[in-house]
Amino acid sequence: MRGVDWVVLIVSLVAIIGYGLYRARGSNTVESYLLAGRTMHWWVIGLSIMATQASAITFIGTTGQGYVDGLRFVQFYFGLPIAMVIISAVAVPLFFRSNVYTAYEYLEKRFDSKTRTLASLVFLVQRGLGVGLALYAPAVVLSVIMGWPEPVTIATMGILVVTYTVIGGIKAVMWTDAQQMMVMFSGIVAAFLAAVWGLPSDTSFLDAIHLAGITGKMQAVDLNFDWENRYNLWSGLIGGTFLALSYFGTDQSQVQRYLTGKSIRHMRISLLFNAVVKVPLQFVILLTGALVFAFFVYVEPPLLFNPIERAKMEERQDGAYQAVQSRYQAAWSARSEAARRVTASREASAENAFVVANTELGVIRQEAIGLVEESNNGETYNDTNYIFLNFVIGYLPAGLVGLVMAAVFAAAMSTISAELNSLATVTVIDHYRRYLFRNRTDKHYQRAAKISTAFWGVYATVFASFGGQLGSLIEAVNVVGSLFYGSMLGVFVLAFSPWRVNGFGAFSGMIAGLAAVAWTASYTEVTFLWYNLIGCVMTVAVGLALGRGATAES
Amino acid sequence: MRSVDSGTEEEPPPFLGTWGRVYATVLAHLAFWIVVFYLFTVRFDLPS
Repeated sequence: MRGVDWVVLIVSLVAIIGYGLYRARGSNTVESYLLAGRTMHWWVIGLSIMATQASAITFIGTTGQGYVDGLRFVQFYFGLPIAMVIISAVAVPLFFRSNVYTAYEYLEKRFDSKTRTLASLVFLVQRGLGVGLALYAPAVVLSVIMGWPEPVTIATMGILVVTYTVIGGIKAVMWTDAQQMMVMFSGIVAAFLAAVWGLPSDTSFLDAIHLAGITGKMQAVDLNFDWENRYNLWSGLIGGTFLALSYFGTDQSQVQRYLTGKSIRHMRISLLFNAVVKVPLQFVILLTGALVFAFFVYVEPPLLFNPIERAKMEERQDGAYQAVQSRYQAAWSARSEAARRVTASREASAENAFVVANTELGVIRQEAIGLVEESNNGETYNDTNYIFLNFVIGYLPAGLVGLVMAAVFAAAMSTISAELNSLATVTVIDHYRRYLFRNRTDKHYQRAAKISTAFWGVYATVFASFGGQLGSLIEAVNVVGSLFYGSMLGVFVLAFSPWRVNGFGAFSGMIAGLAAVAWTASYTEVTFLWYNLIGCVMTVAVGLALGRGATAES
Repeated sequence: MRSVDSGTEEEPPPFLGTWGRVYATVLAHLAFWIVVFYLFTVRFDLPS
């Protein structure tokens, strides 16, 4: 990065955090610290919801996915607007009227304390595992790209996030989220324009799309239904709806955003704003990745995008990597030549030559990745997350590099701060105040919330510091986290429904839903998008079968 | 803390008159994008 990029990066981060803390002044009650006094406007909530969901890995990984796999990932988001409409119509009025701090507090009002406690513990386990990863995963990529030692990146991000989250509470988190989302929007636009402007003068935007299209990257909608195909229209609409319902309707890190709304109208519009913006936004991010693919048709990309692994491979003495590298260069030249013929003539023979050369390049890249995995004792290696940042650092003009890097930091910090904030809220409201220290002063609980936020921040930083030694456990943590959502959604479906289900039924249903998803994940090939549907249906079915009786409310 | 009996939940949406119409518009917007993406796929996706 050049001097001006550092200036843009540092000024952006300082300004965002400074403004967030400025807006958070006066948060001196537990309600203002955890729920912003329920005074937030829809646009701040809406941007905060979006920023919380957009982690740094989502930001850089999605563009990488567009490069490798094309546009089909956009179908994953088709369920989101449907879920937002359902949550707005059903959940928002119930949460608003019940005056709760956490989604799980509502479960006690509706069922009983053990259902609330189980759901909140599930959240603490799931999000507690996730927050460490939310810090570790981007830190690894940023360390490699910026050339910083991993502990420095982790400590820098950890200290910044924990400081403003502890001091300012949810107001600081949400105001910084809103600014961070604006920086992310700017970063996406900058990268998109840079990819288009980087094309050779004789290659138009439509030529670039055509080149990506003949390698199968322009398939945004797949109408074929397949249980094992992760991304098609049906898995997106059905599985995606259940996933989005679970995440936005039951996960405290999201529910807490809209619980801060000053009215039902503000809460609803914030969710519907996401419903309208998210799908086209994801399309643009993926399309940026596909354009980066077209850019690298004419500019030779490195065989491996991770510079550290690339340097390690280049130092190999057995010549294996060098052999792969020379075949790679020949294949890239053939693809580039074929691409020029395609854009000049659109002849079928040129298109075939382009596709063949592109397939050959893919095979060679896999061989190089295999060499990395072999030298790392078989550990899975993912080069996709480094594609976008390589493009940004190498080919964007001075100033814009700093802006996009600020967007990546912003994406990381907005997710982590929301998770710390929600973890602290659940810890204090659902456990500390509920079981340990009842009827204390408002100041007491606000202090407890600050200490709890700091605790989760230190935990996340320590977890991330040891991330490098966890190896394949990281993947296990990711998988475990995805198992809980379905049953969590199921218990909220029971809670929001007019059916008369008692606490025993809801609790048993949740246990059965968790077991069903664990069995599905262990013994079937069903892709993860369907876990939420399975867990939800099992929870509701068992809840209805065992819990037909008087509710806590009735 | 806001009142449980607050009347704000009856507030109409800022546009289109009723929440039902707003929800229908959001879903129509999703359908629009799916159709656009489908047409985009038909036009540009030429699987190898």
